[in-house]
Amino acid sequence: MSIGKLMLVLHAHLPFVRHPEYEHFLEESWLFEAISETYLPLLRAMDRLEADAVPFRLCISISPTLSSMLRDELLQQRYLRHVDLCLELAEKELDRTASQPEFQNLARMYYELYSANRLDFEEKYSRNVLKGFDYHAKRGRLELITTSATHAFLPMYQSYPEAIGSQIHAAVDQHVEVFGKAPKGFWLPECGYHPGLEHYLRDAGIEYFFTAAHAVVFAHEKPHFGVYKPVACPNGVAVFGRDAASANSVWSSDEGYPGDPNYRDFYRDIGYDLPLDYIGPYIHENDVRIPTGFKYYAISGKQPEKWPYDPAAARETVAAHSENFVYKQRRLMGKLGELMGSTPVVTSPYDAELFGHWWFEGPMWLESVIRKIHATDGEIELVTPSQVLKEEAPAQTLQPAFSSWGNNGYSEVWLDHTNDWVYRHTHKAIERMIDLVDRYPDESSLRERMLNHAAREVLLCMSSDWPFIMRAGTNVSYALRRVREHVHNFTRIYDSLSSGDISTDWLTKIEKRNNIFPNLDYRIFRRLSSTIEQSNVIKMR
Amino acid sequence: MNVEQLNQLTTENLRHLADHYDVDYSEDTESYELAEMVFEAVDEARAERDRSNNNAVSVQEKKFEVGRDNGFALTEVITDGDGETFSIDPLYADTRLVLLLRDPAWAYAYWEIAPADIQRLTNEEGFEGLFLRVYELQTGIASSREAVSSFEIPVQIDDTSWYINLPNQGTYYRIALIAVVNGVVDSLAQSDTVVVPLGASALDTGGDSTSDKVLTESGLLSMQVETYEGRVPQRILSLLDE
Repeated sequence: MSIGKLMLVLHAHLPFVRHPEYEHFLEESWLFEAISETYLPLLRAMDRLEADAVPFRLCISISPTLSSMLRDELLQQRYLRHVDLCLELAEKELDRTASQPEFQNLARMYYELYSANRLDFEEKYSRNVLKGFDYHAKRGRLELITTSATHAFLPMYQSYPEAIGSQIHAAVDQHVEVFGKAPKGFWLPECGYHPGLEHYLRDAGIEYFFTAAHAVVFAHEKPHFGVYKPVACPNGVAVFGRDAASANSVWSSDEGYPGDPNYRDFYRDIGYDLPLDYIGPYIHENDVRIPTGFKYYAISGKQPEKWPYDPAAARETVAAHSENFVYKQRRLMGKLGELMGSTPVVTSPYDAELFGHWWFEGPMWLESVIRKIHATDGEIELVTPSQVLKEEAPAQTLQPAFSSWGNNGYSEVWLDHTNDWVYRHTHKAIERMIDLVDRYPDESSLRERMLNHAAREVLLCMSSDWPFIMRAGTNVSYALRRVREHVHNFTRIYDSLSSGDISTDWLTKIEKRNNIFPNLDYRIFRRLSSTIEQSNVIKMR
Repeated sequence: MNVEQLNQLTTENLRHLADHYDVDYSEDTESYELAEMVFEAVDEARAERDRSNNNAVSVQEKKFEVGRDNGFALTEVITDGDGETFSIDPLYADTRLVLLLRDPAWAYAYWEIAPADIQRLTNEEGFEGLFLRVYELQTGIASSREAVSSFEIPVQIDDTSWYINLPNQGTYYRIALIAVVNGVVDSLAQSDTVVVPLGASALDTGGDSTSDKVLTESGLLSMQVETYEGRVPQRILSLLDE
């Protein structure tokens, strides 16, 4: 008998990074690393579960920017080039470590990993790993959902309903194009919610979304079951609040599982350790050292000297940690069941790239958790959001509160002194885009192409990743470039439409470069009547 | 980037970085000293950011670890592959005012005054200055102008943004940019209304102990959320000790 329902939600997202104008572009490796370390290993874990007839249910949000890149032929070719380079390095590493068995085993592990990646990518998925997710979705194991078109942090756009609507509708359209059916759920980027957002979601046919715990806990009225039952917004769209406690045991590098000394160290990499004359071809041009993905050391606790990574020890730790996670879930659900008098629903969302990229053993842990849950004989039930909503109506109607899962729970990550200047420009671009639709409501041919691309550039400049990176301070010049690039491109089109001075060569160039949302219709930014704005006004208390 | 790589930068670029990171240096500071000072400043800024990051933000940062500047922004010329620079105008020659909510206690305002308006104001002999008037409203209805209270923040003619401390939570605010000429106020621009949440749990408004206990299990203290107004009620804290 089920004592609780566990909803594991993975949010897979990377910003749109594609630079055909360069033969090699460093930031494209964000995607390549995620394919190698997260998406393919997760798919292999699902395949193993299928092969062993272990049933599972997961919810995965795949951002439109990510799905665009995964389907892009240029990036697919470049991924193959990347994985071939990794294989070449693995072969060299097998030679270099011949007299160091503890490292040679690891070099072999990487050789096998990249060989499997190459085979799966090229042969199994015909270069499009989305096929793997679609395969499991069609068999009812995955519920695939979407997020805003370019991962805009929506609370920053409250005054621009057209922009919020565009982000949501473009995302839903893209999802239908990729997976052949409309998503029922929506991942709010960074769990960024502001009251009224549910109206835009319902307009796009969305039935539920996820929030930070305090969106529900700090609602204007007390949620009877905390975050352990779905609630409904006043307009009926369902909300699943994040269970912070179970999330932290997985997220935290200090107190959570990923910080265990036996796990592979994320930072120590031969890209930094080995001489330039050896590692040079595998790092960035001009001898800029970057991680290669070949990491030979374990986290090793607090002592200065790290010990070599031992995959067998890591596997044992994974088994213990998955056991502990299931034990904690069982204990929590038992306690909640007594208090609530009904079956709790525990919502555990994670960044998908946590699994495999940062936490190398993450996909193995997830697989192990699923196997152990299966072994509980239905005591803990893995569920998808739609399944929950089919089985039970939201427990309560309430108005969630403004919130995010960022630092201190609100907008400070995406609005501080490092990035606040961005909004002056993105807001202006939105205002001008809406004006353009007013001025050119029904264009065709070249002018329509220009308007469609203008809309594309507006969406791209709204990405939450650029202000996030500016604050993180790790790759600021690139984030600055991207905001400036998209605002610049948009403004050039805007000015060209006024002056009639149109460079088709330039337009073709930027259409080819920023080729996301090829079927985007600029009218998506048409001015909304005041009805939806008025419906966003909510009572506070 | 390490000190060695910083040493390879031009003095101009190093000084640019030093200014960006508020490094205190003089014209006599040698390049190698400046490189070390910049490195330390960046390292310190990064450590400060790491300390303030919660788990979700820390994990996300790992996605973008591979990068060309590793925190040393502004050293790269921003161009496309064909050498085109992505220039954007800093301002748009409009008079406008926008208010964005950062958290239940702070909002960010940015504004711009059109050059024609600036000229008109500064040409007036009786121009006394500008201020932001912050209105607390009774409702969030866009057309409502019924203020519960208001306060003012003086700003300069060349200011374009301000972080505003909001005195109350669970309410509504909007702001206006106001010029004073000969003692007469002239409202140049108004913002939309922002809805400010309570920023705290409504737990102690009722006596439902079952739901209070469920909420403690919701990880009330592990949400890593700044709470305002009521904080976590004592009654709930005592439940956590049980």
